[in-house]
Amino acid sequence: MNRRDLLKLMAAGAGAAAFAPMFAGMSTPAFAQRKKRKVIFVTHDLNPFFVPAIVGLKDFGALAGWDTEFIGPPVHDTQKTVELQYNAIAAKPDAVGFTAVDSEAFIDPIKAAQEAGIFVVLYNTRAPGVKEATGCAYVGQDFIVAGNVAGYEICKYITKKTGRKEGKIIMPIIAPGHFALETRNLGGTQGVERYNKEFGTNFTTEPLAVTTNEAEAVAKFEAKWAAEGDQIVGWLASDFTHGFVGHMAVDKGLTDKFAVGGYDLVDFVLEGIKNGSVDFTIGQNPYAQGFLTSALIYQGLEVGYPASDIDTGAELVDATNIDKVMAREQLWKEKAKEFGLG
Amino acid sequence: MEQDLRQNSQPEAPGCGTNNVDAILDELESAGAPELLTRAGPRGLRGSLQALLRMREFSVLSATILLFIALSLATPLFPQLDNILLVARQISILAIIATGVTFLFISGEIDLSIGSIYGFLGIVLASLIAKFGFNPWLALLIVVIMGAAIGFVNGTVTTRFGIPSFIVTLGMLSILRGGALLASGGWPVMIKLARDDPFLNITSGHVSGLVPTQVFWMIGVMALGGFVLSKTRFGSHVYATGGNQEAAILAGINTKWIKTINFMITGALCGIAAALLLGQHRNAFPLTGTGYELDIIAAVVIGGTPLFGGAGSILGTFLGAAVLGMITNGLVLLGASAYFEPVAKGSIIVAAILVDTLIRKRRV
Repeated sequence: MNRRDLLKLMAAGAGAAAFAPMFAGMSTPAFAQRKKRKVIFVTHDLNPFFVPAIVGLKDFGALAGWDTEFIGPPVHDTQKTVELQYNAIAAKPDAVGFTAVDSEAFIDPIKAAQEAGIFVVLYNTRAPGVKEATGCAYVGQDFIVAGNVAGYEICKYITKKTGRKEGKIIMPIIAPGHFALETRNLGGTQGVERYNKEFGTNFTTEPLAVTTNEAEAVAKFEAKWAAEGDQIVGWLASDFTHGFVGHMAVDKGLTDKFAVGGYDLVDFVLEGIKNGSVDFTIGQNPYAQGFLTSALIYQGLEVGYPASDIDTGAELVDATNIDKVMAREQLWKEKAKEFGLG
Repeated sequence: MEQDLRQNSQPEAPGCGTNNVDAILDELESAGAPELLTRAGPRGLRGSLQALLRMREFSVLSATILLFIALSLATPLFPQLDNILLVARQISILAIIATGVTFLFISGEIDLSIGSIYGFLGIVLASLIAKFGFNPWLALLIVVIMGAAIGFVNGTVTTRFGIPSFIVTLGMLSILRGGALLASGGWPVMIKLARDDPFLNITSGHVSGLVPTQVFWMIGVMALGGFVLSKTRFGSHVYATGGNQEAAILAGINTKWIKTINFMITGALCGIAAALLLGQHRNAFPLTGTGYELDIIAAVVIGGTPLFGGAGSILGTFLGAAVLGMITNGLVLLGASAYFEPVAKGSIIVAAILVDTLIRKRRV
């Protein structure tokens, strides 16, 4: 992790700290006496990544006495996401948290919410142009920066594990065209090029479309390895499918043949780091994406401050900090069960 | 219509004349298929009520009304005009494609590639406009023709080579999904038209600032589909093809061509649906339509059209789409868990098939 990323993490931490006084007063009458609010979050894909974000929303909602709702299509689907956003607006909430994975499709529903007097904050993903068109603040990761961190990191692991100076890095992607994932891959390639320039290596990148269905994804990985195994030196998923690569590596005894990295802190990825089949993952603090988005909504509704952007960082998780991270993530899983989400 | 079918039937083999047509009509009627085959007669209030109860759509009509009342009682937000129009717009695209699928189901075939055709044609349409500078209307005409051509391939391979449509269209699903990714490079394709461009206004604008134009597209397509199915010779041939294919062939109906045309209709409607979505989002996404075939098939099945053909109606399909739309909207308004929606939809599909099966058994 470079200095810039550390600064970004600190900035995210500072953002959370800024809201601390508000949370400290959670049992005071001042917090409890606020008007009862209805807040709805809509996501573009209800995959396991969002459980901490749901818990973040529910936690803050419990503090503030809100009615909260977190909805989204079972798999990434822009058309269904937009429909759900309009349904959320029809429910006449006080505020909404939206993801905006595209530059055009989400502008109309965001504007429709704003015109209906609904406070809007974006979280997790904000495609280029959405801020300019809607003025909405964003709580989430800077994907180019995160991609750069991951791209540089995978090269370090390739060098360390294989000693090779050239080869192909495969970039699995579960939703081609998804702004956040494609941008991570773009940043990842930039990070790889940066490493090549600094150390005289010649690593290249190649995307591979897969799905969240593990059997299907692993079949593709195995086929890719069978066809190009001699060239492949690393796998850098744009999502959480590096956990699937780790499963394949264990099954086929390939853990020392290539480096494996990717994003997000889902269970099987963390288990992969723990057992050595995955080298690292980049977290983006999904809990903050639920909690801090809610906090921005709270200060906007109750105090009147406009929301401002919060970068939730690019947390590097590897063998050095995996135990601590697993303990932390376990906490969110337990909380998810409390809310009937686990 | 019965008379029309009898007059136009051309038996292929000696001794297979009018009696075979009678047999087809009797079979279709006993299957509870089209009201167009019902013998007309004097009908009072009691007769009308009996006719209503005999309608295949009666169960789904009842379910739609009950669901509407239940949701209206559960939340006052549901029956508001703007919310009803929202639901109507949200089911429009689904209902348009489902109209073609209803034709296919009635003729005894299935198309699993509809979601991929829809997504692929969206990418092609956006690319024609954004990358090649085509006039949007000309581009729309091209993708409608392309959709029909894809349907022609599906239909021809299915009927001429005797491969089940389930397999053929499963292959097409994969081919076109890959085609959309290849054509777009994985990225969305954005069209840059002025906000007041006629193409955007007509595909996704509002009439009188209130009613979405997509709703009018849906009404137009379904009305035309319903007319063709219930009032034309082609429609009666569709029922005959799915009701008893061998008898239909003996009666002189070119069942292979009927099925192929139905595939083409479905493909062409996917082109129209793609244009409506592109107008709304001004962006085409390579993964659009993934899994959409299941929602569309669900609407058709909930609407009372059986998977094995020979019966069904556009009205039923509309009601099936309305039920799905109301569930999605209503659950959000009620604040239900997002994980519950697939459970609710699945349960209603099973319940619809169960009710339909029980009704058919009682008729027998």
